Amino acid sequence: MLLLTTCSYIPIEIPVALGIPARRAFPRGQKPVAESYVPRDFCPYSRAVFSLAKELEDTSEPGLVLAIAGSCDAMRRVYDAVRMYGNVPTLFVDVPRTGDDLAVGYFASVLRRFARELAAQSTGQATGEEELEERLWRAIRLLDDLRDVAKNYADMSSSSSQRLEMLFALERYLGMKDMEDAERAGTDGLVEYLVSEGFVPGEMKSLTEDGPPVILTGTYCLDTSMAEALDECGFKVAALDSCWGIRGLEPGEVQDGGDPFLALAGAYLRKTPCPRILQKDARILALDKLLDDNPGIRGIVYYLPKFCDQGYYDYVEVKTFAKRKHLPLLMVEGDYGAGKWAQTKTRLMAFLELLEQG
Amino acid sequence: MTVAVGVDSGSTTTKVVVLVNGKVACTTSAVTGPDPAKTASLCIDKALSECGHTFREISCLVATGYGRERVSGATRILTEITCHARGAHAMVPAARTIIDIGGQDSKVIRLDERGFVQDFIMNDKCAAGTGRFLEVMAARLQVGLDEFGEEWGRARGSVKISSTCTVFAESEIISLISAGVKRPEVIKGLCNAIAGRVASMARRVGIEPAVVFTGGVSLNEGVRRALEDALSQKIVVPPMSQFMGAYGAALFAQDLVE
Repeated sequence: MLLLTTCSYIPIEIPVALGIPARRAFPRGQKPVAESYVPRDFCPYSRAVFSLAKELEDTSEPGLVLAIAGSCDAMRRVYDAVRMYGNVPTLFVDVPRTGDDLAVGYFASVLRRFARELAAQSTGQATGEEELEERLWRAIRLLDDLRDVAKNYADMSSSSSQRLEMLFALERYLGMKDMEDAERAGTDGLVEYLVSEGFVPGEMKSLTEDGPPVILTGTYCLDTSMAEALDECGFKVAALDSCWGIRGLEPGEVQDGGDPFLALAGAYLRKTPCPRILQKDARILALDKLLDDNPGIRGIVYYLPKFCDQGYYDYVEVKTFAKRKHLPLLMVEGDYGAGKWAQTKTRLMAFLELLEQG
Repeated sequence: MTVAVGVDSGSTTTKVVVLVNGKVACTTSAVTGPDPAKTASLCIDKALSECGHTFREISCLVATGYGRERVSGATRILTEITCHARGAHAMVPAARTIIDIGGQDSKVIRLDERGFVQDFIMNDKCAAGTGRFLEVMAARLQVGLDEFGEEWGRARGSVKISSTCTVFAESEIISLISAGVKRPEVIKGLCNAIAGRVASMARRVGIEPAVVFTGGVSLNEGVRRALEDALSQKIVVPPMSQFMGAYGAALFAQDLVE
């Protein structure tokens, strides 16, 4: 069995505890098949997830399950479309828009149901509540340690796309081992794997050591092209505020003891927020923290997948924030592959020239 | 003697400005066509020969525009945003907002008192709000672009062109003509449509006087007047307004020489 997830708000700890390999779905773009089912003015990621769900119907890999997070209205619509017109086992993980106690309690119940449904899709896995909770606590502790390692390695890399793909490297590693193996191997096991994947400390030279440091933020990166374009243009990408970047590697602190689902729900809802969650204050605090953690930031590049409603709302907040901090801000709107477009590069180069002259 | 050359390889037109000892010696332009590199070379040669110089005498060449990376012999490559800002500020030191409408894109640039770019916004994904929009409509109305100002003056009122898309706007003016609306009123409506679109871009970066209008469309008197109405601002069209990107590039080339 393989679980594909669509959002960083779906805790990977749950499939790890159930012994199910899981990774983030990484659709490479929208396909014509989406035309008939999902409106054209939907965000490219939603359309790509639907395309992926249709493609999975033809895959020979047995036991594929897709978990779609209700991270925004578009994804909720995609879930409905996949359920109505698709033929792939699909689970829905509703994600509340706030991090208060009521939302945490609700999200804990969502995650518990998700774990039960996931276990039912699998065979021969632990489904007893007590055993599941015990395994979940072990998975939480394991992921805490491994994410620290992954984050440190991500910070060492100068290639923005390599840093973005760190989350995938961690997921691939976990997919190759069961929880007991991963526990036995500890953090050394992950380090060994990362080195074999090309993350070699000391050999990851900076592409853009002298470029003006910027934050790349937005709702969703779609692909690595925008990060690569920033590297190529000569920016130093000091922080990748993306669900593959820091948002995926920095869940909030998990409160030890008690109900692990409640602890996980709290940690995930209070992690570095995604703009799709619409936690405005938490979002601005997180940006503020990024500036504190990365002194010398010269500007912000906001990447907005077209038709991402949450992104348009969030951009207004980020614009106000940037103005307050006297930081130049560039908004680039695009689709899959936008970083390779000449129009994007012109905007990025003009922004670089703006930062260099100032 | 210094010969500084600025080349703006635009999507529609390639423009060249030659500065000899820091002073404008010659300007030239040509339709970019399918081979931007070749057009740029021909334009440079033509400009240099007009002012009695050769390619070998070039002290420094700066290229800008969409085809900037294809211009051979460039010492430096800069974006048209930076070059327009430099050129417009040199020409109008009070400039704080630049509206540039070219053949296939439009942009609004906000400057500080030093002429440094503070913010910018571009539309290069849609023909509406660009010179191409006017070309399509002028062809449909069988009127020259240089006649828009005169036609504007003749208009007793204007019609509203609702469509923001060039294709749909063309259908709309066909309907208006069929309904008996006179050409000046339609032209005024078209100028208002393009000005409205660009004005909404300008508001997003903030409008501060002096507002300078550059690019090929700046020569269109009808659009200039429509922009003044839309922004309630006097719009300055400096000399060589259609060469502003190339002029800015030439000034950067001059800096590099010095």
